[in-house]
Amino acid sequence: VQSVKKTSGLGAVVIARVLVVFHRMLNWLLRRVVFVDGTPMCFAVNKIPVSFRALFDFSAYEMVPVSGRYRPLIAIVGGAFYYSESHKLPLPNAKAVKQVVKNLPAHAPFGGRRRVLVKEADDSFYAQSTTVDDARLVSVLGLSPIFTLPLNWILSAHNAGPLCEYHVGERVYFVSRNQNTSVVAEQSETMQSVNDFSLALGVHNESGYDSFSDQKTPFVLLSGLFGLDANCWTQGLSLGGESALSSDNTKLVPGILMFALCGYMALSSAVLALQGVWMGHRLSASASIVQQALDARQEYTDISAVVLGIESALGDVKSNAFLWRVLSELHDQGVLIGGVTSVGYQAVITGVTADSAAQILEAMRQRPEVLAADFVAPVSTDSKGSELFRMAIVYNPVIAKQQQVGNEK
Amino acid sequence: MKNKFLLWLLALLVTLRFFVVPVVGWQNEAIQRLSTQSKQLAKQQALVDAFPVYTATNIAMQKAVAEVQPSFYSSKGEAPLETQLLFNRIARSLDAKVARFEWVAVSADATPKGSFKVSVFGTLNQLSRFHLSVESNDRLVSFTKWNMRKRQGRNVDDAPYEIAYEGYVLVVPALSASRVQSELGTDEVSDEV
Repeated sequence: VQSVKKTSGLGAVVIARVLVVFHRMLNWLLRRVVFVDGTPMCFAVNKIPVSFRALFDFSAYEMVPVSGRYRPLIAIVGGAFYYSESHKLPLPNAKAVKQVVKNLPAHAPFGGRRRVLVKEADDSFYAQSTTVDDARLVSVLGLSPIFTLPLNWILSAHNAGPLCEYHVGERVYFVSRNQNTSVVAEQSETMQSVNDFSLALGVHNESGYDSFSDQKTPFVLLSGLFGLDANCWTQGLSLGGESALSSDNTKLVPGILMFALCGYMALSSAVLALQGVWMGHRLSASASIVQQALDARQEYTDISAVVLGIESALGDVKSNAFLWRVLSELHDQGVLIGGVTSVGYQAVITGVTADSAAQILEAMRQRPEVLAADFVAPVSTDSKGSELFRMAIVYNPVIAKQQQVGNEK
Repeated sequence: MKNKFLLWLLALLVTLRFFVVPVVGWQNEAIQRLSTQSKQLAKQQALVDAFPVYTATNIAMQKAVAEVQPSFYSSKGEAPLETQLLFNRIARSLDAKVARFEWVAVSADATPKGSFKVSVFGTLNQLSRFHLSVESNDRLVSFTKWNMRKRQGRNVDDAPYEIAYEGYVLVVPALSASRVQSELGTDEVSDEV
């Protein structure tokens, strides 16, 4: 019990240390995820999580203003930084739709890279073209992010009801979700409420709508971030030739690859080292009980040998009581016993009888205990007329006893 | 541009040679070590699982041995003298006589057998009773082979017989249950063993 307690105590300490390391790594990573709509904000988690599951409890996360100058990994841009428009095109495939949308005249009031997401629904292709004001974003952040993701993508990817209202800072967004597509609109003079939004879309909201306050913004943004599909991440990567930041980011590619490689190696090595330590602790913790079990097994082997020896010896023990009874009867019949040699249940009896030796043999054969009886030498007659015989018998009192029991039954 | 690419390539090769390959080698070793340790742990776990079974079986076998223990000798040293004394005592009670006693050897088995040879003089009736008394004695004495003959003229009825036995007794080590008892923390064994 003590060893188990020691192991669990040590396990708790190791898990706590690992959680602290994860907490630091998570905060380092979260500092590099910024939300830009006014003042750039980054994410943070102040409390050290009590379990690995708590690491992914986004409701405990907060948003704090960005301090210091570093390159953001992900920038989520608010409505002030992007212009989005939707198109429904009757074209045969998504690639053609994307090509056509990219060549459509730009309506955005600012220049920037156009990011196009295409989704298929109801046998048609819906294209969402989003232009981000990259130049303004860089001027606000100081450095270009690696992934630039418009807020409407994040809100679309957030797993919530079919009709939602999001309060993000001072702005309000309305989202309508279908099976495969979604529509995001910002509150405006002509669209004051969810009802106006649903009326504009022709959506009937009889089951009401979900409303997310500004306090839930970190939760909504991180949940949406994890819900983005691969296409969003590809479109959000700011490495294209159209981007003003392309040359800057191209320099980062080998660094990112190297970082990823080193990170993977370090992480996998750390996991292996931890497993090794953990295994070593488990082995050493069970050493005492294993030694006891080994001793018990050795004792078992020793005692088994003794018991087998006893059983074998007891099996070899043969009682000659029957033979002595036969000798006694022969003596009472007047037979002079000259000698007896006995090995197990076999005996050779030498004797002299005034009567017939053949009768003695015949009487011997009649006994149920006797399996076989015969003379081993010719019967001779002495001067007095007595017969000298040498008779061998094989007997088994156990078999005779079994036969007797069978007959009684 | 070309020089830059070559520089990156060189950096990549150096990283692979001096970082990735050694780390992967170490990881392989660590994985093998973990695999061995996990097998060892599985074996240990199986042994630990069987521990109560071994303990219970040991106790049961110790009890069984203890029950038959009085039939055997528990010391190689005492077996020869006590066997000889046993024969003398039985023979004297029947007015027979032990002519010769020879202790042969003790085998080196887990349950050693102490072999002996003994010769006894007496009438047919005395020898019969001697034999049966030895067989029904508390201590197990097994006669593997014996030869009885008349000492003097074989046609003389009253002439005494000499019987020469070859046999063995068992020497079973006295088993102590104290260790198992202390591991279990009970007095269950000590009362009965």
